[in-house]
Amino acid sequence: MTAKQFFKSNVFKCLISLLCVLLVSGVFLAIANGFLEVTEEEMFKRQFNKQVSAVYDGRTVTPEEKDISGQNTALGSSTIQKVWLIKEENDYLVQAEGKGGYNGSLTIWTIIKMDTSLKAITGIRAVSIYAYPDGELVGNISVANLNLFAQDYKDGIIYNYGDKTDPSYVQTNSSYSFSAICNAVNGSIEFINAFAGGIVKEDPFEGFLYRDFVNTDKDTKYELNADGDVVFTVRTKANAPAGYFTVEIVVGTDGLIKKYTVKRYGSEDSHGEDKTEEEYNEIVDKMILTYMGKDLKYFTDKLGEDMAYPGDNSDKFEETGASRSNYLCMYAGAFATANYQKALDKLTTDGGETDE
Amino acid sequence: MSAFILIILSAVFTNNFITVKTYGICPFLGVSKKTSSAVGMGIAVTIVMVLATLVTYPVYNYVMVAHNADGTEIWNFQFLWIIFFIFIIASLVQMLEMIIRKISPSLYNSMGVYLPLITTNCAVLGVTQMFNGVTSLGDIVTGVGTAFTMNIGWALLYALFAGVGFTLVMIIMSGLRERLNCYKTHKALAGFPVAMITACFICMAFMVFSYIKI
Amino acid sequence: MNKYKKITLDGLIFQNPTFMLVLGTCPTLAMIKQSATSAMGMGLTVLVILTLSNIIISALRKVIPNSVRIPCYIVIIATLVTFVQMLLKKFLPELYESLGAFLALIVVNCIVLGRAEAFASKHNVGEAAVDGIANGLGFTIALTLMGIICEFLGSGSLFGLQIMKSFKIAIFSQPAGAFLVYGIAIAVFTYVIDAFERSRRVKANKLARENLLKEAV
Repeated sequence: MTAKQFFKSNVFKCLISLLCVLLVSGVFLAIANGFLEVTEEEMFKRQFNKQVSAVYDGRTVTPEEKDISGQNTALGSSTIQKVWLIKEENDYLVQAEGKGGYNGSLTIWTIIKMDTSLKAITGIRAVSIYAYPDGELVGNISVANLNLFAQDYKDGIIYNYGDKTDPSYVQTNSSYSFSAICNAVNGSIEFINAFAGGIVKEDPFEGFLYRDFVNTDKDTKYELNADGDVVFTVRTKANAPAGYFTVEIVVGTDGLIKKYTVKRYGSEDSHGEDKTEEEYNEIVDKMILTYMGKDLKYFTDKLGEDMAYPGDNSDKFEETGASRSNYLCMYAGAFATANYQKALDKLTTDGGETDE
Repeated sequence: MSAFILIILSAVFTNNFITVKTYGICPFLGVSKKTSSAVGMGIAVTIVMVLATLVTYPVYNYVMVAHNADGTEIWNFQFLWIIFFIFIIASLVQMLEMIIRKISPSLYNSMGVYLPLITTNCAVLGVTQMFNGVTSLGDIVTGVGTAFTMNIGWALLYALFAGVGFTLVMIIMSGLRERLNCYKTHKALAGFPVAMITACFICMAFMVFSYIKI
Repeated sequence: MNKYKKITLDGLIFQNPTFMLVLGTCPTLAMIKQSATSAMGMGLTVLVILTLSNIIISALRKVIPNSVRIPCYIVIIATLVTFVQMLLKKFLPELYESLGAFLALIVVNCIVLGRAEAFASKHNVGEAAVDGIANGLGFTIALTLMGIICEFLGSGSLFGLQIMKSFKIAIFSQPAGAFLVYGIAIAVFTYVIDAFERSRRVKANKLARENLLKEAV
């Protein structure tokens, strides 16, 4: 059809009206957005007033955001997201994400009291939950629970209220959430210590090899005994269905395994279907006997430099039938023998016990 | 691998679009009288959900909230997302209808009448909206660490299995309703009320899945 | 005046969108299991959007060509929803949080689109506005009632005020309970309306028979 016909046709009318509606809508919304947009600053102010102002009894405070881009913000079980300085009160407000919640990570605000020089932590003023994943049962965490952090603060404390195996465990019916909150608060304290006070938490396992299956956050430690040997207490991670093992390995001055004792068997938590707990433990005990007097080369010869899991019932294991448990024990053996020298160096320069 | 399984578990069971998030209820109640129509609707909705995610995800992340290479914003049209998305979905449904009519007139006759209804299905807009501004897969799927960044692959996978979950519940519901037809219900309870009570039981059954933890 | 009354009664009772037409079920189920305040908030938001959309669409009904009317209506409704979303985020953040994802889903709410298509495109602005308000009120009242029931049974509170300390049937905070309450509410409502209509018909029949007898005599 000709151009004139097109401009009069129905199709054109439809297109034009649709375009008009779209244009008007777009312009209207753009204008509205200009007036009504809620910036990040405003969101923060709202959240701050809602959650924090009560803590200061209505005194005016101005939080000033601090640049933490150069700092180490990924601290194991928590990630530091933002830090504000509240000058009037000598407080730091730390926004940190705590891992290990029931449905993900919780974002927690911790207000940390500092001394007048802003270098040392004098206490915790308040802890509040800033954000949490959908379905997380934060309703069970009461204000009294959160106030425990402020009450129980002392130098060097690590909060473990959500850990059922810890003596400080507090029953809330939301232990995962509470653990995540503890992680966030612990991380906030650690971060402020480093950021403001320059106190860097020393990693006793710095530079250690074979850490993948070793739980360096909990129970794992090394110390010198009277004979000058390094006694490793290694808590492995779980290797489903085998639970975690806690073993004690004594490495002599020649770098060979002098003694290997299993303090805690993984089959306590769970084990494979086909054998009983005792049968699994028997197989593990038999394997352990073969580790005596061995060094790192023995383990890496069997499983390779990277100590990778060779698969169930592999012929690399002396005894088959408890492959995953045996793997964990071999891994612990490799950990001890590989890091013997480093551990010895750390112990002799630090002069004493080092533990997590 | 585990992320894959977690996505399936989350999209189909623990965050099922009908029984947990209460999206897509209108077709759930309206089209579930016969199993054949329920299956047809479910498959149609799944296809539209995947296609819609395929188009809206790049449009949102690369056109509406465009970033430079170093991460700074070029412009931000986030406030227009509803219009963009609904336009895309309506056009997709229209195109799909035309394609089905051309390819297979018999298929069109049997279920073509449901296609325009899919535009107003909360599930489609809901699934495309889920990925707005989400940077890590762990924000949507519980149990996945922060290691997985959100990209179109995960989004499509999630949309696909959300549709599968939708279809699954539709089939269960239609099976139950067909059985119910054999019995006489009280006049006041007939139709929607008994369907709702049936849905109540299906929801209760699905609540079991929320206790699964990997 | 009479036709306004008819529109109002239809929207509120006889063609109540929630109980009689069973439209817009997604936000209904999601909000009543949260709390009565969320339910009322959703109802009022839909009321505002529905009325505004009816007014605008009725005003433009002669201008928009027939073949593109659905896309145009959708764009208009989407604009309104986006605008309301901006307003809520700025001035009523608690309501914005409680509505969550369902605020955006009002765009595909069957009630809004349905009334636009069925009514606003065929009546003038005044009637369309009254229809919007009536349907919106019907929706709000229905949602609030069901929200009260669900909140009371599910957490023993009423609009946030704790009334019963230990009486909690958790299922009513889940979709399952919402379905149950909704289904029973529909059954009760339709039964009552049916009974009312029947009694009205019986009365009308009686009146008609009496008139016939009078004329015969």
